[in-house]
Order: sequence, then structure tokens, then C-alpha cells
Amino acid sequence: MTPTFAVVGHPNKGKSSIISTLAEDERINVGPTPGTTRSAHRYELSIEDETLYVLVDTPGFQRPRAVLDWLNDRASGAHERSVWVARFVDEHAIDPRFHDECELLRPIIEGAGILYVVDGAKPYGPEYEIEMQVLQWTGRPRMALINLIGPGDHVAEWRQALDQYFSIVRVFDAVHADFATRLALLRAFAELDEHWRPSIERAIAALAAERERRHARSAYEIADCLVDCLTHIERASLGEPEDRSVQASRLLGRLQTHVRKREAEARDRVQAIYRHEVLKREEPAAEFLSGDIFTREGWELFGLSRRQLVISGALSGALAGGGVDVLLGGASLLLGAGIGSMVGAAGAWFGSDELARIKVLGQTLGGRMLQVGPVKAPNFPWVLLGRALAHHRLVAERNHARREALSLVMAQDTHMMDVLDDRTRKALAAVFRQLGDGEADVAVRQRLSTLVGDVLRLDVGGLAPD
Amino acid sequence: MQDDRQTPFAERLTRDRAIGRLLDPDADEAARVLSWWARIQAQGAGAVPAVASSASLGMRVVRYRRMAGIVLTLLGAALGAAVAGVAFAYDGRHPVNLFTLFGILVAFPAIMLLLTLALLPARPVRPGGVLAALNAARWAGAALDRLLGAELFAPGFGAPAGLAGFARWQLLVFSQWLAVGFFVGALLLALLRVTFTDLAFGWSTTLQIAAVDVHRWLAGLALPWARWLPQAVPDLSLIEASRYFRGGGNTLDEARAARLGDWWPFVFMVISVYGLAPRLLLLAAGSWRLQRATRGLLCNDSEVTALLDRLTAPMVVLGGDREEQGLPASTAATPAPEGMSAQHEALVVVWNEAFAEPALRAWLDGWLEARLQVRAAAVLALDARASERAQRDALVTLAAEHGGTPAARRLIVVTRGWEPPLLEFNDFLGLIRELLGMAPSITVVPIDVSGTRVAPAEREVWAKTLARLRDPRLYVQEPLE
Repeated sequence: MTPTFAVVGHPNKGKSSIISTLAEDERINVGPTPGTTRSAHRYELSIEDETLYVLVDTPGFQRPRAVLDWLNDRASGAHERSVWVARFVDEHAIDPRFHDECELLRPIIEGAGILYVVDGAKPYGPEYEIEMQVLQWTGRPRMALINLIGPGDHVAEWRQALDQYFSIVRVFDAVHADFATRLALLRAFAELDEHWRPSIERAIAALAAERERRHARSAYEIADCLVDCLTHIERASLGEPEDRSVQASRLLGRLQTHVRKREAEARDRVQAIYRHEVLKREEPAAEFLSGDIFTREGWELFGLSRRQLVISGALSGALAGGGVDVLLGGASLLLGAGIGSMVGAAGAWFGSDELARIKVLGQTLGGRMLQVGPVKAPNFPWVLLGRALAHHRLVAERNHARREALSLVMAQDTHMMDVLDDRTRKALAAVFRQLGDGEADVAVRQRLSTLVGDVLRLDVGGLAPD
Repeated sequence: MQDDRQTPFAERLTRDRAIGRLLDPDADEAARVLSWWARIQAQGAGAVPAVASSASLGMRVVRYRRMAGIVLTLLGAALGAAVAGVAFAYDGRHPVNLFTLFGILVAFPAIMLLLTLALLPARPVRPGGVLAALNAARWAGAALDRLLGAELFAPGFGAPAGLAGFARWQLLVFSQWLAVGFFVGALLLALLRVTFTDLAFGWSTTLQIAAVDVHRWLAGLALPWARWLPQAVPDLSLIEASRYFRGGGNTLDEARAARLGDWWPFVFMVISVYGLAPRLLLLAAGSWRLQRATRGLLCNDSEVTALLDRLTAPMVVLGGDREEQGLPASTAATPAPEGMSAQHEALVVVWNEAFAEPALRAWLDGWLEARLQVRAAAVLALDARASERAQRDALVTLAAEHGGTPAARRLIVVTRGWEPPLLEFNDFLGLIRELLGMAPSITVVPIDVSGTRVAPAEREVWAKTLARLRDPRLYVQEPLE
């Protein structure tokens, strides 16, 4: 039988949040009003049409006292308690008074394990014992999850009570749980019944593999966006000489629009990969992420610092100049590398304010064209990458139960790209240089995709409500 | 595939994996992509057009490629015939000089061929550079691109991956069609000349070269066909008889002219084997590489890579059966609190051991006066674990003892504000109405752990939930600060 877990408990203790997190479904209603969940819903994890486990979201207990009274009036011994629970559901199947209780007990008497959810941020209440007793009567394997909704900490007192009724008690912050925590919780599910272990283990392996795929897919999308934005040019037939600056400005505007559109597309794709399609693009980000890419503030935050830019430019220049030294068999006494690094550093220092190349082209069959692009500002690729990195972090780590706007928490006076080590920064600078030269072949793209994949694994700051 | 972007990602994931399971896992990537395309067309699924439009870029490329191949072959044939017309010119006085003939029709094209081969491994010409401006093939590619309205054959700056390779091999194939046409045209013209006119071939040189040396060279040239076509191998006597000097003044007599006509099989074979055949070979090799480059162009496209991933990656589905609708939002107004100063006595019910703090329980009377400005005529503290029956009994006792007293006109129910109201709480309120009637007011006071006001959101939950009962004398009250 497919492992099935009924998520039950008092209303408004985060049952739906737990389901939303585990099922990665942000459509599930999560709200403070009791009765948000009115009937039981199944959420399956399946691989290639094979269901590995099922979570059942249930309404909260509404009349546990009456249920326990009914059971106490009938059952005389422990051996018949579960039978009476089943009979209660049978007899009250169409009784509107016990609609919620029947909905939550039905999957349990059909064989589901019990995940009982309480809120560890609020004090323990003795009335919960009534629910726990009802669940105990079912005789099914049970686990208690102490969810944390809010700032309080009453976990210890909850533990003392829950340990009386549940074989496994875990703290699980449904809204803030990261991927590793989710997998750890799934492992705990397997402890409820050893027959469920193989399915759960397979599910864990599949989820981990899926996570890797999402990571790689995102890296690919971001690299694709970088290639497109770094090599994009705008051209138009050249008009009268006096119109040249107007035309250049118009083409520059078109180029900027293209970059903005492409970045938005990439974000949509990354969100779709992580199943955050409902999430509005603007929502997860504070102003710094949803703000326009072509702003000084954004560039200062996301890109390299001027010092890093100069170092990066110097390294690139030294590499190019070093080629001359190699050609001369070292007879130049490394002058090529020295001059190259100085030129590169100077270019990074002085060229960082100019956005894109503007030049006039002669056409093969006559006429003249004005070409704007590609973007030559040295910090541009780093800014794009930094923004993509921040967005990916917000999306990939964002929990599906989390509905409020989020932003990244970064230390003051830090740059997004500070997280890069020298080796990665150097490798990225080399790829960006190749792209700047119009070399966007398969190898360059793959190299960039790999590097972006590495960068996406870096910790760029924690998530916090906006 | 760009259009397919409009289809939601989750839908594409499910659809493509379903198709992927039907495809041969050992088939190569291009074959799988094409099979996917065929199935998508058959399904008319998503945003993908059911049939590729004849005006689509792909169809236009196919059409223009075919047209360009035919035009170039015909152009080459015309050029070859014109050049051969000059090379085979014979006025009856001096025979056609074989050295000149081979120079024009074999040696020069061979040099061009070698140059082509030498340049093939070089990196693609960088767009915008000097080489690009001087590159004739790039001109042709640019002209084609202008016809197509796309950058394919003369890819520009930052062109998609693989496009440069594709363009290079496509231009090579085009040039070989031109060359094949050239040699076919030349051979056809030669055949016409041989068939319908008399031709005499000879050789002439200023250098002191003996006929025997020439024979050795030509025998070497004829090696590929010497065994199966001996009549196309000139013998020494023919070579000796074919040498002529323009200064000799001697015109060809009939017998000698007929003898010198015996060269034609050899001439045909030289042009065919050293002119046409290498071009055919290069055309075949170029076509094969073009096919690979086209395949690479397809398979390295980011959209296709993503598609291949969707076709092969195991489908992990996390999904619910349907969306939850939830309760309709209450439209009833939140009950306004009743003024408390008029009455100072009330019956107080503490629901579910609302005072979590033991100290607060001890100071209950003080709390009631300080926070609610009431004096409790009686306090009914209900055990949270009590059965429904026990609760009812306790309430019946309270009603019996205090029913009809001034205190019974007002009932205050203190409850844990951080817990949402359950239906059993509504049942309890219903029980109060059943026992005491509709006259008394019931004020529900949700409190925090420390006996103070709850958070506004929690208060709102209580207010909205109790508003559903539509009891005109039921209020939600916050304790005073």
C-alpha cells in the first residue's frame, strides 16, 4: 500500500502550510480563519506515474469533545477502540455536525499514518489532549509535528505533552523549512512504519535528483540570458549626421528594453522551474531587485566593487598581454603581461560609466548603419549575474507555504559579488570577455552555464520578510 | 519552440515527458526532437502551431537552399562551358595545348580546392572584421540572409551557438555545387566538341623535356583508371607524335590530326578524376558536415536542450487533487462592544482554562475589575478536558443558581484568544442561549497569554467567526490596557 499520511490537528496550526511546503503547491489556501480547509484533499508525490507517498490535508477538529464522548460511551476496551472510531465515521458520514471530524478521520481509518500538527509558538492547552486521545483511539502510527507560527517558544511544554501520545515528535517550521529540512522530515515519516521506508527513500532520492535538475535548469536559463544580453546589438540605417546622437540614444533605449525584457523572461523561467508560477515577479523582491537594472544603486549593490573591477580588468589584460610574451618566447621580459594588466585595469576604471559601444558600419551593398551594442560597461555582466543570483536564491529557497514578500538580508557595505572566490571571478571574467568579443559558441555557453551553476550554490544572504 | 514558451512550464513538463516515454531512448537527440515535433503536430498541443507554415523561417531556408543549389549548379555549368569553350578552342592549325587545357580546367581549380581545404580548419571569420569585409562567401551569405530576413549564413555578433559552423559548411556546399556545375559544364562542352567537331590535342613547351618524361608523368596521372580503361592512357608514340612547335609552320595533315584526336579519352578522364571527382567528394563531405552542423545547431539550441531534458528526466509530480475553496468571507459586521460602565456585575465563564498563567488565575477577581470593569457574581471555570456533558451540567448549575438575578443579564466568556474559535465553542454559546434565553448579553473576551489584548489579527478571527452566528446580543470585547 502506498504510504499515506493524514495531516490533522487543531484548526489554524499550519496543516495546510505543511502540505503546501511538502507538496510545493502555493495554491493551497493558507489563512488564519478557521475553516480554511473544508474537506480532505490528497497530494501525491509520484515518479513516472508511480505514487510514492500521499499526503492528505484535512480540516481541523471542530468538536473533538463530542467525538470522544461518543466513543467513551460505546467502547469498553482498548481492543475495540479503532473499530468504534470507524463506526463513528460510518454513522456520521452525512451528519453536518461532524463533517470535519469525518473528513479527518476517514483517511486514518483507511490506513493513513497520522501527522498531528500543533503550534509550538503558542502555549500548550489541555484541551488538545482530547484530540490526541481521539487519534490514539485510531491505533494508527502517529507523529507529532511542532510547527512554529510566530515568535513564541513553547516547544518544551508541547514536547512533554506530545511525548505521551506520539512515538515521534519533530519540530518543523513549515514556512521557513529549507529543502534539507523537508527531506529530513520525510525520513522521519519512514520511521512510522517500516513497510513505508522503501517508497519514502525512493521519494527522497527522486526529490534530491529533481532539486539538482532544477538547479542545472536554472543555471542554463541564467547563462542563456547572460549570453543574450551580453551579445545583443541594435542596428539601424544611419540617417542624417545631425540625427546620429538621437538615433544612438534611441538604439540604446531599445537595447536597454531588450535587456530588461530578457531578464524578466529568465526570472519567469526560473520561477516556473521551482514551481513558483503564482508568485508575482515583483513580489519576492524589495525595491533593489524589482528595480530597474540600469540604475546606479543596483549596480553598486549587485556588481563588482570598483576595486574588484580593476583587479578583474587587470587580470584579463594580463592574460591577453601574456599571449604576446609567449609569442616572443619570454624575450619581452613579461612586458606584455604588465602592459596588458595596466591597460585592462585602466579600461575597467575609466570605462565603467559608458554603457555600450556605438559605431558606424559600412554595409557590403552600400549604405551605412549605426550599431549600438554590445554593452561594454565592465560591471554589466556582474550586475546581471548578481541580480539573477539574488532572484534565484529568493525563488529556490522560498518555501511554498510562505506567502509574504521576501528580500535578501545582506551585511552593510557588501556587494553581491563579494561571495565569489578569485578563481571563479577570473573564470567568469574570461567568459564575459569572450562573449564581449562575440564568441558565443557552444563551449563558451556550456562553460558559463557550469560557472553559473557553481555561483548559484553560493550563500548570498539569508531570507527575511520584506 | 519559441511559441511553445507560451505553454505553462508544468504543462510542458508533463506533456514532454509523456512523449519522451514513447520515444526510443537509444535514438539520437535530433531524431528524438523530430519525433517530438511530429507528435506535437499530431496533437496540436500547447501553443505549437499544428503545421509548420510555408512562410516559416525553416521552410524558407529549405526552399532557398534548394533554389540556391540549383542556381549555383547552373551558373557553374554555364561558367564551365564558357571556360571549356576557350580551353578547347581549335582552329585546325595548332592542336589544343594539353598543358594549357589542364592548367585552366584542372590545375587552377585544384589550387582553389587546396586553398579551400587549407582554410577550412580556420576559425570562422569574426563578424565586423577586415576578413569579413573581404570574404566573398560571407557576401553571398549576407545576400541570402537579406532574402531570408534572418542571420543564418553570415552570422553576426554573438550569433547563437553553432551558427558559425553551420554557415561555414553551408557556404562550402554551395561553392561545391558551383564547382560541380563547372566541371559538368566543361565536360559536356568537351563531349559536344568531340562529338560534333574534330579536335586535335598536342603539347608544347619551351623547356627541354623529353617525350619519355612526359609519358612517365602522364602514366602516373592515369594510374587510377589505367587498368580498367587502357584506351584512356596515352602511349609513348602518341606523346612523341603530339609534340609541336608553333614556329614550325607546319599545319596538321589529316592522318596526324586524326591521331592527335586519340587524346580525348585521357582528357576526359583527367578532368573527371582530378577536377570533378574531388569536388563531388568535397560536396559529399561538406553535405555530411552540414548535416551534422545543422543537427548541432538544433541540439545545442537552449530550447532544444531544455526539451531533451524534459523528454528524458523522470517526471516527479507533486500535486493536489483540486484547489480548496474555503469558507466564504463573512459579510456580517463585527459586533461592537457593549459599554461596560452601566453594569458592574456579571456571570463569568472561563473557557478552556483561558488563564494560562497560574498567577493570573489567582488574581482573577482583580483582573476582571481591572481589565473588564466588572465584578463577578459567579465564575465558572471550565476544565479544558471536561466532557461536553460535564460542561453542560456546570452551566445548568450556574443558570439554576443565578438565573433571574441582575448578574445573569450579562455573561462574560473569557477565552484563549490565540486559539481560533471551534464549532464546539459555538455549541457552548448555543447552550447558554438555550438555558438563559436571548435576553442576556454575551461578551466574549479573547485574551493573550498574559491576560492582555490579543493581536489584532487574532481578534479579527474571533470577531468574524462569531459574527457568523448572527446573534444580536453577542459581542467580542478586548480587555482594557
